[in-house]
Amino acid sequence: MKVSKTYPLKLNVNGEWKKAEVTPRETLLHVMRERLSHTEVKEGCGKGDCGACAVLLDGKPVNACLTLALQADGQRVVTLKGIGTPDKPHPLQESFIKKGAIQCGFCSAGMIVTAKGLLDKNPKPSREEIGKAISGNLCRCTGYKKIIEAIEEAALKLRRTKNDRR
Amino acid sequence: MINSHILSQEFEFVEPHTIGEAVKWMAAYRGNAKFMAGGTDLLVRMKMGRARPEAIINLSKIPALRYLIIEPGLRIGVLTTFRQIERNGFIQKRYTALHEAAKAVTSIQIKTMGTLGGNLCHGSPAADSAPPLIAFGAEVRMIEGDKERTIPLEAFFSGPGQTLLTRKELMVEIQVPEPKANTGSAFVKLGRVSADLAKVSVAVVIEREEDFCRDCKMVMGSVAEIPLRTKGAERILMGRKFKEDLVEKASLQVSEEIKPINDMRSTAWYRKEVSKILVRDAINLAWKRAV
Ligand SMILES: Cc1cc2nc3c(=O)[nH]c(=O)nc-3n(C[C@H](O)[C@H](O)[C@H](O)COP(=O)(O)OP(=O)(O)OC[C@H]3O[C@@H](n4cnc5c(N)ncnc54)[C@H](O)[C@@H]3O)c2cc1C
Ligand code: FES
Ligand code: FES
Repeated sequence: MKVSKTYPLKLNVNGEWKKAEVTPRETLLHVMRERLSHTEVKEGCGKGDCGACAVLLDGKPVNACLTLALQADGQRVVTLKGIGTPDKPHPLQESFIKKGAIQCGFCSAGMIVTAKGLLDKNPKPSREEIGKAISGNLCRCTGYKKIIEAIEEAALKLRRTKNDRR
Repeated sequence: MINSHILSQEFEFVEPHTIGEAVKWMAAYRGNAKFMAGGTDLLVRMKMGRARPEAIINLSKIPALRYLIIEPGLRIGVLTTFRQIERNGFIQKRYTALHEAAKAVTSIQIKTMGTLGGNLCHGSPAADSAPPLIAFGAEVRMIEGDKERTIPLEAFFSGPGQTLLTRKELMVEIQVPEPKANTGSAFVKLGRVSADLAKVSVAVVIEREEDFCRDCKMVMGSVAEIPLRTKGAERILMGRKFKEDLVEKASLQVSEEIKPINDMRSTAWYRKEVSKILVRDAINLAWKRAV
């Protein structure tokens, strides 16, 4: 059998540099889950349709299932855990819980990551803009209404805390 | 099997930093490698076993392919993403149909990774950038070894998934002429849901002189084997005084000209019917914008 050639990979995951030797055929999704234990990155469709695997790559939302790990070499990857943790949740995570925007939870990681990508660029999105931003993130449970409300509420909270600090 | 974190096939991975290196690598693999831009089409095809390259030549580390120059026409490096097109205010104003096509691409994730070069080179009749770019008269520049050629985008597509690119050829630039004054344009797309490939799409570019339509270009997506220019419908409007019944006539003519198929997204019959409405809307929008 042909032995796969491996290549060095360097990724900044949630602020920490990680190294791995990978083969070209490993997707970013695979390396995150299986090599670096970031199982908060979910796999749904595996072909770009559902957004469960969304991560921020250099600040922009992409589908990790349609990205080779080597394509991300040298770049910053942010996952759900990089946005907030149970002890220090991000306003998006708080409002998702509070508003009931999470049912089975499978879409939530990708949804929150994508919403973070939006709010970083646009702190005051309209409902329509929120809807557009999450159009590549499928949720089979909630019907999206509560998700959109949760993102709106988090945006409001983030704007308030920013103003308070001024 | 598509639900895999690891692609089932073995391949090598090379990362050139210049255009010269990229074409040399392709020659070294005797055309059996694949260039990769964003990978959103290529990786899906590889996961499905429809593409089996010996190697991937990743283009994304070549700065000379990543630019967007306004001069006053457009020069678009092939690595320019849908997201960059969508966010460019000048393109929104002067090349509105191209802006609307970028906006209509499925999702933010796909817009972030998907490039214009990849969209065209994949050769799909549903490629959203093709109708507006053809309607604006775009040309594409390609390189193989030390040979270079520039051809009209209208002649680039040759069948579903097929283009004039040879196995070793690299597309480097998309050139779009400056629209004449008093030109308006529109792109209208109908998907199964808003986040999907087009069932039918149409781009219209109209040059207006008072109440007359001086020039008109109309190109449709997903209605034939390639993105299709509907010249018969263009002729109905061209040089005439703009009137509602002419718009009606042009939209009926379109349903004669197109050759849609039945597939998972739609039936041929439905595509013909809905085309009439899409074309009417696009013509009216383009006309209104041509001031
Ligand atoms: C979930 C999903 C939704 C999508 N929605 C849409 C949509 O709404 N509208 C739409 O138009 N498309 C859509 N697509 C298709 C795809 O995202 C676009 O066609 C995208 O623009 C492809 O660009 P890329 O950079 O990812 O191409 P890649 O996958 O990198 O390349 C595509 C093909 O072109 C070749 N290639 C790339 N660059 C060059 C070059 N410079 N020279 C020569 N050959 C080259 C590659 O070898 C490959 O065969 C969708 C895809 C997915 C997975
Ligand atoms: S698993 Fe990546 S988009 Fe569905
Ligand atoms: S909460 Fe179940 S898929 Fe969204």
